[in-house]
Amino acid sequence: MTEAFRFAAMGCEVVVGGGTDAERVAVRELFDARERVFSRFLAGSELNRVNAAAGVPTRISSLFGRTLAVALAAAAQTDGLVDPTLGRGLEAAGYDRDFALLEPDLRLPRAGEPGAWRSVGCDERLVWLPRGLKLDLNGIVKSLAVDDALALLGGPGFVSAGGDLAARGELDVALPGGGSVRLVLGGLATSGTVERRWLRAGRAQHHLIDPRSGRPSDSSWSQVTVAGATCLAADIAAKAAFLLGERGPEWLDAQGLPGRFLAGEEEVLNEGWRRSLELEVACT
Amino acid sequence: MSTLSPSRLAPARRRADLAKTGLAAAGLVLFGAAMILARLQAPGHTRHAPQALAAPPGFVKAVRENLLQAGLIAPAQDAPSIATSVS
Repeated sequence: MTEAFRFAAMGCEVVVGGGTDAERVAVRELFDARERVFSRFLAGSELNRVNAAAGVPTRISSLFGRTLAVALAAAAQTDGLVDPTLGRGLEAAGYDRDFALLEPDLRLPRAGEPGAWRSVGCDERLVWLPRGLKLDLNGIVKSLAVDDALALLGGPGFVSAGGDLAARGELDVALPGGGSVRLVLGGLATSGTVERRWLRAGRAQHHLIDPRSGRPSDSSWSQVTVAGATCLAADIAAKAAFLLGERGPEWLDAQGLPGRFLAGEEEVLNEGWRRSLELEVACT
Repeated sequence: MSTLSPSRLAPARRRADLAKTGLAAAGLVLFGAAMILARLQAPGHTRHAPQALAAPPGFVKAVRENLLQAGLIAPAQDAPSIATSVS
């Protein structure tokens, strides 16, 4: 495989392995285009236009409609844990500008608002938000972009963006916090609080908002890694499992998804993750 | 003062009964026709069986798709080709 192609997008480094030069350019264009549509920090983004129009029906692009449909489906399938309506919660916690521009702030974080995904009305071309509600689709936009970017590669390869990875063909992957695993099929995603953290009134804040409280989650885990059929599946499941705290491993097993949980130095593997590695060892 | 003879009274009563029956039948027919026309034309009544509002098929597909399917992992066999971080 030729040397990986790297570029910055969506606040992280995107790495593309495999693919022709044209395919790599197409991947970069895809990420740039998604950022222009879904960024909370670009004044002209479609997301900001939709949020500013809360209270009245607003026309949306087909890309926005499809992504919002996926986000609402993710909310439904996780009992509202992965909620696309937590834009205000993020702002209340202080994440109101590009992460690189965040500085310690002496002001107390404001009270967030619980998720309200059931109050969003939409179809493919029209969305209606209750007045005061703000969407934040970045919970799934990056992993969806990773999956869509991988589909642009004609042959074996991978696309990685921050904690999200999808591959075509088997790939050995180093995991955050140590250790590695072979991804045979699908995608891997790691959600956690070890990287995107900032201080507000001396208290650590992070971007994983618990929709039940509207505040940064107080989950016992520092990070959760999940293997999904797609990067999107892995990402949704990792966020939900993180937010569930102690019940996360059991929930992932109930979904049939392998997951690895870290709490500081402590590592917990759910049944699905352990069995995947043991079965493979037994077969070789 | 003259009185109608029984021979003229009976046919007059028959004609009156016939006219009443005819008027009642015509009234029923008119009422039925008016009901049918009202049902066909009156606002608030659908001409066709009602159907639920339906989202476009692509939208429905995105919402109904199972988003939580498992991937496949195995023990690493070589040096990692890529290192992931945390989102």
